[in-house]
Amino acid sequence: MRLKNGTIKRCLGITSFLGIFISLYMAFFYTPLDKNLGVVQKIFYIHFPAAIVPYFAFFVVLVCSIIYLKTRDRKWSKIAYASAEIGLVIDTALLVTGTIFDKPTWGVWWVWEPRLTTSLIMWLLYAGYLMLYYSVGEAERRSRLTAVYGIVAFISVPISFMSIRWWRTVHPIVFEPTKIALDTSMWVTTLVFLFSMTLFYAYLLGHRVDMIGLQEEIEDLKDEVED
Amino acid sequence: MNYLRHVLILVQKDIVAELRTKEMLNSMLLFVLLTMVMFNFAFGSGPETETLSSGLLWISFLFAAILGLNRVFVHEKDEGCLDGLMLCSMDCSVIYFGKAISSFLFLSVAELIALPVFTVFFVRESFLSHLWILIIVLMLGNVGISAVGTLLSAISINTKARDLMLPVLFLPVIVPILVAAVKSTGLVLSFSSVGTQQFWTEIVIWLRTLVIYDIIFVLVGFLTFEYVVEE
Amino acid sequence: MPEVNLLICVDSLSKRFGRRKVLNELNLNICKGDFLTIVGPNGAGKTTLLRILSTLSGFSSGCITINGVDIKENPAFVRKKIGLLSHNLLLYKDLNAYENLRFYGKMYNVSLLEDKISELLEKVELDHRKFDVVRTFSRGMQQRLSIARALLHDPEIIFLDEPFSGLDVHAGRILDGILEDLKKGCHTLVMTTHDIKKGLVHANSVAVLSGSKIAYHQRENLPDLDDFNQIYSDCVRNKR
Repeated sequence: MRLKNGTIKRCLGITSFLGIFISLYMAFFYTPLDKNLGVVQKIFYIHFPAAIVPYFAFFVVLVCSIIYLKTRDRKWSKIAYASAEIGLVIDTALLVTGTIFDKPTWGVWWVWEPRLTTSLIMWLLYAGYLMLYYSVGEAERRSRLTAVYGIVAFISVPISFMSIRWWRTVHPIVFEPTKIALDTSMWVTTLVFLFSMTLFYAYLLGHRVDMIGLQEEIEDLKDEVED
Repeated sequence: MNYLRHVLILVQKDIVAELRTKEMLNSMLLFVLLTMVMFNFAFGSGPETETLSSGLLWISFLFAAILGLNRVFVHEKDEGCLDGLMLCSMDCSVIYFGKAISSFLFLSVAELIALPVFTVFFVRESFLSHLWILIIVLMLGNVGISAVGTLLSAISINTKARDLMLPVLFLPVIVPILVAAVKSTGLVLSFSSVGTQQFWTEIVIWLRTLVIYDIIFVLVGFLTFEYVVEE
Repeated sequence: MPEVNLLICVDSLSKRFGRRKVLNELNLNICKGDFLTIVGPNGAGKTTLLRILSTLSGFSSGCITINGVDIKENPAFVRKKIGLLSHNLLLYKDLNAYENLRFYGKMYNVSLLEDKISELLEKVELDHRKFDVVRTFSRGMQQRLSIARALLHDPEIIFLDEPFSGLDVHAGRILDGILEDLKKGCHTLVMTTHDIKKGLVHANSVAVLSGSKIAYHQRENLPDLDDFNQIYSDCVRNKR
């Protein structure tokens, strides 16, 4: 069982790394140069999956939190926490690429555009989630409290998105986002990138869950020794 | 029926205790006033500040709410009263609703006292004819704030950081309330410069957002509160 | 063994914090009308056991029934039947004595509440301070009020966690009187204490909690103080 688990992880690792290399290659050599934006547009290929994967990761947090509260199996709370952490890292990548993308496109580093703003709020929500995780000492209580916050946080995301979008659309929009016209090769590259990034997420998740398991085991053993 | 009675007994207890010390009300009220004065020093007083005033109003309310919400479970945790409550209520959600309703009441009282002061300081044009809309906005906002705030306050009282935790958890969740409340307050304050039709279409959007948020988070609080307080 | 009426039945109860076992496969039977004293060294899990019995704390495995009802499945049923005097006061310091009792009484749906409150306040000798805020009370007086609170709804079963701590001689005597009355009234009492002498005064059943287990349990025909001291130290030593 242990061996099988390891094999799956290794396969995930290899395919996701290969996938990311292939998608990088495709982004630079397969897709044509964007007419309006030029080479800056290349960042879109990583920007787009980095926007989608956090939603997926935080959705996993929600689902695992609910399952944890129902079953009280600590396995689920470990997955939830690991997923939040990885989601946060990828969300950070999104915000960074977002600012890099904004500068040449709009001339400013940050545009309060609904999607990017929602991602920022999501970043803040799950940064709070991690803070909560580290400020509760006892494992069982920690799992319970973070599970509840994991549910609250995810539910607030769509409402935030809605309200931010109306906030922009009700009033004249300063920056009208120009539609980036994607041709087929561009779409294919984006999707390949999305696929490999999702695999990469799964790969990290597996390892992180194992690490948390080991960490908790060490804490328990310390307790036992102190007794 | 018994359920409702228990909630009301709990609220009544909180009101009696609060009226005796007035800790929460006084500090919230003073905080709101101080924020307004500080705001004036930071941004000056001119026509441009007027456009910011609806934002100022809600920022000061929100931070005052954090001040109050931090206290919601302090008295319960102090002498283990939460245990006592768990033993005598038939259901954990009684505690949730009791606490949420009393924080709603305290917040509303502080806001209603602060509102005239705000008007005197920052509003030039009379909005008396639309005051009732502003009151609705305030109440809807407060429902959301206390529904989420009570749940998160119960979470943060269980952490090592205690009151430091609440703002970090609370503010990102409350963004929709802030957006909707600020926008609708801004509409009410400047209703004369906005056309009647535009006023109504826009205000409906924001009130709808507030109502949706309130319903969802009262439900979430009701369903998850027991997991926070149990041991 | 004579025919007895089993009230509380604890079957292989375990409670873990992480990997540390606070209670391990603990078995305990308490009969109706018993006065059980549980003694044990600090940190043996006495408070944890009482918190679990009063449904305030969960447990990892095992089964507890009170009156045949599983407490995990139907905590509301159990909560109505029990009164808890924990070392936390469970009192609101900003309310006065009367308001505290009235609040809890209303929550418990106590009938004839006013009479009940006066009766209890008289019993714990606090009627002259009825309308004073609890914050102004001394620790002993707060503890006495807490006793009144625990008895407000006439619970069948009363859990007392170190009830004598913080009480002066006089207040201790008041509590002694109350405990005697409760015993006569056929209430079931479970008391934890680390004071072996105090523990033996009222009890008809004693247990030693040590090494996360019930190391000794004797019902009726209790040993005298010296014997029990010996038993106690044996139990505690065996654990190490």
